[in-house]
Amino acid sequence: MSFEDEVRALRTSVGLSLASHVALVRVDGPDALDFLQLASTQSPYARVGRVRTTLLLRDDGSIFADAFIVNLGDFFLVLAEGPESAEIVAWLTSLKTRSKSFDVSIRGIDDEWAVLGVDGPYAWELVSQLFGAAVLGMPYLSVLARDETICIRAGKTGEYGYLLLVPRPALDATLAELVERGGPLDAARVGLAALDLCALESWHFTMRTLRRTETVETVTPIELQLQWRVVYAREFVGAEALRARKAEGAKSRVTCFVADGPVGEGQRVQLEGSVRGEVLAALTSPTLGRTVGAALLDRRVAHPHLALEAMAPAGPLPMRTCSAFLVDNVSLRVQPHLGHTYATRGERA
Amino acid sequence: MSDLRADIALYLDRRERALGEVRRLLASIINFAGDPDDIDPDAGLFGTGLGLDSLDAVEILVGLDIDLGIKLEGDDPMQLGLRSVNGVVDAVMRVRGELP
Repeated sequence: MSFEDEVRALRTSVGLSLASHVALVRVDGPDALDFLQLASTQSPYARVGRVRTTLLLRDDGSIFADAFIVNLGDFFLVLAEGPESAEIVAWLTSLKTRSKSFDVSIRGIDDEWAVLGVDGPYAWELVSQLFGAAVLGMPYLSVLARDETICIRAGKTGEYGYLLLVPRPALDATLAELVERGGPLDAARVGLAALDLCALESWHFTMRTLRRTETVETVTPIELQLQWRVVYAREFVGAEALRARKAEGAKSRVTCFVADGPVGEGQRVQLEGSVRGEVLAALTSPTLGRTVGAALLDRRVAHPHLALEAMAPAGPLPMRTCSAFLVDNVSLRVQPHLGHTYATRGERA
Repeated sequence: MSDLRADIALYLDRRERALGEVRRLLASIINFAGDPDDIDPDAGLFGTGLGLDSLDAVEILVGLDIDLGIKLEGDDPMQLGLRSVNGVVDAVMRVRGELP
């Protein structure tokens, strides 16, 4: 299976992935909600069976982890990208006595549970074969449970996406069942690189977008356009630094771009001969036939529709900033409740 | 800004102005408690980001018309490219003839 085939599966049918990059941490105890309030930029308060998209910050406001917090009633589950689960457990444990003594228990559960990703415009069709018709009505960031498997609707590709939390002993059988049932849907196994590209095209943040830059030492949610995940009025780790950054005014902002040449990460970006920023992420998109990326630009020019140049080793390469989102997702036109199945896609086209 | 070519500087000034107008419109629709300037330009309108629903989408179209005098042809926000804050800004600037 080529990279192009993986991306095609994610954009037109179904991609199956073993999401081993997602760390699982369970937080229990009477103070669990208050404790997660301190750890998270977004209030973790949500109805049972709902999910919050949030960030875990360091004291300087930089991003430690990109996280979903799931309220499962008896306990909270943190699904995080970035650090390993042991690092997240250590980080959370260090907060247990920060503002008061929290009565919580924190433990990584990656050795007990695995995460499978099912993404694509017809992911719902495959997942509904395991979890039933209730999948069709699942709002984004909600949870369904069947037996011992938990299904979270939380994709990052711009298409329908689900994370399946499966007990380790049942992993092989569940994956085999997905592959078999996914056959008629042309489901394909996909890797992290294809998922990251689809996330970038659909302007979903991933930790792989982050790189320490020479121009900006600390990149916070303000520069990364992730303020929608921040509630400034709350107290959380990193809040003070973030408020200070906001007060002084962030000097740069991440902006998406497209280019016809091989623009690379870390390359300086110029406008009219002056350096205006740096490429944070750049990937070749088979869907668009071009390079897509994210550049950290001086705030004054961090807007779409500007013609800039990336300073590649072989010379300047033209690039153009643009508005999110970069692809026209098939999922926007697929309505599960109207029977828009994979088998009938040709009739709708 | 004196270090930018005049046409680019003009475009950026107009972009900032339109972005401010759209942020204020969206802030009123979602009852945003914070500073409208905290609304990220590339934040998604639906699903992740601002978390708007289909009723809010209608309010955006009505608000563009009443508050900004921007009448868009069509009623499907997705088909109009209104998927992000910047998508709305693009629509406003396109109608005004301000996009490069």
